[in-house]
Amino acid sequence: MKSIIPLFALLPLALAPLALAKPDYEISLGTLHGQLRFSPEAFAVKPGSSIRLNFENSDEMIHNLILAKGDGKTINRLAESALKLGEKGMEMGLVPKDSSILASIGLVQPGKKASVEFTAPKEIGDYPYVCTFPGHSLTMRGLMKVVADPDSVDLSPVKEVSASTTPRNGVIEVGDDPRVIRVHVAGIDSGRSIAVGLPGGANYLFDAEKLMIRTGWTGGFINVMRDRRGRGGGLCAILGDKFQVGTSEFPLRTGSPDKNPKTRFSGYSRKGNPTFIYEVNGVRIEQTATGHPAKKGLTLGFRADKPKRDLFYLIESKDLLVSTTAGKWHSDKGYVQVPAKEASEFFISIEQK
Amino acid sequence: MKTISFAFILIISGLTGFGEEQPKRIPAGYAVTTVKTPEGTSLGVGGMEFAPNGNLFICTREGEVWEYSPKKEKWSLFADGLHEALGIWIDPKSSETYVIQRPEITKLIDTDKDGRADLYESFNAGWGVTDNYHEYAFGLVRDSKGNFYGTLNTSLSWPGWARSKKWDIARVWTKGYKDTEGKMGRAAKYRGWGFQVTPEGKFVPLASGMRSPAGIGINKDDELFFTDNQGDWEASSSLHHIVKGRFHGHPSSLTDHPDFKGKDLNAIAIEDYEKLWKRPAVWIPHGELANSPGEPIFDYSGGKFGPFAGQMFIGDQSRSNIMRVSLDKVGGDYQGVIFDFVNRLQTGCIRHVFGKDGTLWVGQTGRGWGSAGGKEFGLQQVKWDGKTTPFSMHDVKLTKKGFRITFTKPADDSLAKDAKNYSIERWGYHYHPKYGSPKTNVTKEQPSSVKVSKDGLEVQIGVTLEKSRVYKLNLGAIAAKDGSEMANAFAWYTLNQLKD
Repeated sequence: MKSIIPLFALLPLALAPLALAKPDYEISLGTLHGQLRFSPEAFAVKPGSSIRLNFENSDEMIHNLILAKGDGKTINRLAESALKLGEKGMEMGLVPKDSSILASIGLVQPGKKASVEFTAPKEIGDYPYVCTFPGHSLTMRGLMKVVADPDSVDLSPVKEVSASTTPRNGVIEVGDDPRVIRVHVAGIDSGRSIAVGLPGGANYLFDAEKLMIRTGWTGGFINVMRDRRGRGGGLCAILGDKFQVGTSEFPLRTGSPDKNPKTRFSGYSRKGNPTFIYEVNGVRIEQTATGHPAKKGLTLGFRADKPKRDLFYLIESKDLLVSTTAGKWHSDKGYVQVPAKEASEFFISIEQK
Repeated sequence: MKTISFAFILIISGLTGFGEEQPKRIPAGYAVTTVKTPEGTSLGVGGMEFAPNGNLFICTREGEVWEYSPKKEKWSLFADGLHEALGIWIDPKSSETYVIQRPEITKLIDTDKDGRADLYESFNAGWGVTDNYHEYAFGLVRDSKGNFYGTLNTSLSWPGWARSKKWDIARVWTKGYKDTEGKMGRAAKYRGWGFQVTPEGKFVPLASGMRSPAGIGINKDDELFFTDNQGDWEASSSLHHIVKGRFHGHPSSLTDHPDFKGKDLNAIAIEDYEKLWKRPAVWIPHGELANSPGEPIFDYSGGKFGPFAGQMFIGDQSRSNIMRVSLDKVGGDYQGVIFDFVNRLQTGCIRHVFGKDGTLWVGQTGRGWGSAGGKEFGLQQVKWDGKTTPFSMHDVKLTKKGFRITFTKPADDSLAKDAKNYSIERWGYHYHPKYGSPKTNVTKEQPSSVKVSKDGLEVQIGVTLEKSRVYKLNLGAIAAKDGSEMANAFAWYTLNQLKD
């Protein structure tokens, strides 16, 4: 039972008659720029109501949207199936054939809009939506809540962020823009680490010396009180639930996974999603990470500038699920291998089992 | 750690902007103005520099960079998330902006010209840094050839920090002292060094033996100076001239010196370190003049800041005062005299910059160590009215038989020629691993001869001269010919070498 009206898609999948009656709900969905996140990540409707979903892609990447009946596992299966569509994938808007799908919008180019009309299920419950573009599904997901009284549902309330950039209680909050802050974190022995807080509650710590992610965490960002009040002398505290992403020092390597590469940290960009820039054996690498407030995992985005040899990303995979949009994850060897010619842009998702 | 209650801070910040109370000691013709800092922001100043557009950029201990328009009296945030940014340098032509923070020198670029830096480029990270809170990186100056210079604090080496086992690193000659006595060590590479970074970004270690070198300055001849804080191996606070290869006294840094590679620093006698030690150009006597001096800056305003053009000014974090230094080159090396200039401002003075109009901007922080001024942070200006000449010692220079003292305006002849109106005290310091040194060999005397020049602007006094001594001259009893009182009664002259 799907009815699709792609106002703009690579290929219109179906032509349905234009809706004449005003739907019960008109839902606007967008993207958080550079974050691989939907905005909002939840909306609520009444059972059996008619819905018009307007999707505007304000991001600089292509996205689609699939709304399904099921749970996280269903979403994982849909993402997997989308990847397996192969050559046909792009034509199909990366929307696989799957009985769980309630509604979908095919690939939407950056800056473009598309809509779909459908009827909400009669069963009360949570119905997830996801972008199945390679590398996006871990973090680009949300929930349609079907409830008797949608107005009573608390949907990611607007967070009040202190106007002070140097709050007295030391708690650094993340508002609409990512925060990037140099810290010494308790329990993590590093003099050159940078904490990144993404809007909505996904955070990670990038070690600018060892070029690795020391930890990820969900929830609150960071308390710098003990480091930045008084004389300092204390360490900063992570305010959420930590999770491991299984990297050891210098996880990204070229040519061989076994040799510590020659590296140089070049800095970071704070335009959109924070991007770390470094060199590995002379190859310029740009690295981003995205997470999801409800997922213990990160999707790492890499851009390698004309590497001559294959890239390797080392992951100690115990208790971790790893997937990549280019090359192959060798779980036995503990690395993702990306052929040089496919390394201009790829994503690696690492999440806890 | 000193704890200051929030309520107390609110009360004192509330005073900003009200009628300006002037410091107890300030030369006639000078006045202090307080600048209102951005609302809700802790602005512990770590570095200040004017940009070509006339705006003042301030980097802070809290890791931010603020832009202040003196014309519009408006603040805007330029960068944040840095780690204790303690120096800034802005190209006077291109506006290229560099800051030094704990882990590196960073170039801050506003690629989309929206007033906020969005590209944080790592320019150099040639030194080691751990999570030891005392590993400050101070700066930032650049010479005429495009080389950057900065100084690196030693690591605090006592069990209190980081609650880990890694604190006891490269401490030298500390047996017999309590661990809690605040010994400094070296937990990572080049702690306790002054360094150069070439325009190409290459890190060059320059001089060792620094302890807590909180301020670096450069003169128009590309000569470098830094201040150090009293502590272990440092008898008192001090001003040093940096020359490549010098050892400034604190041995932990020698771990990274090629001549000491693999050597046990505890097996080297204290006397041998003393032989290597380059004495400070100017001692800044602890407790009476300064406890934790900051950035030295030269007055190149060409007289817009009063009669002390070409001299150096240094603020002090703890005593919240501004001092004035005149260097004296004797035997090819700098020594010189230091005066208390303004005492005191609202809080600790650690960074300084001259505006085009000759205003001295003073960047302040008192956080953590407390300051005599009382406030936690701030920004103040010291201005000269452009006409009043205060009566003050202008300079003290060593002669073969004593000192030649010059005044800013004629002294009263009868007062100036009376030897009883001069009291002179000299002393030395120990060089040892202990925290600070008491004065040694304290000797008091009155000049054996006094000769006042005809114009009353100069007096030559005969004094017993001894090497490696600080001479404190008290001229408080001498007034000007026009009756005005001496602005600053004391001069402290560091005599390292005698005149040939």
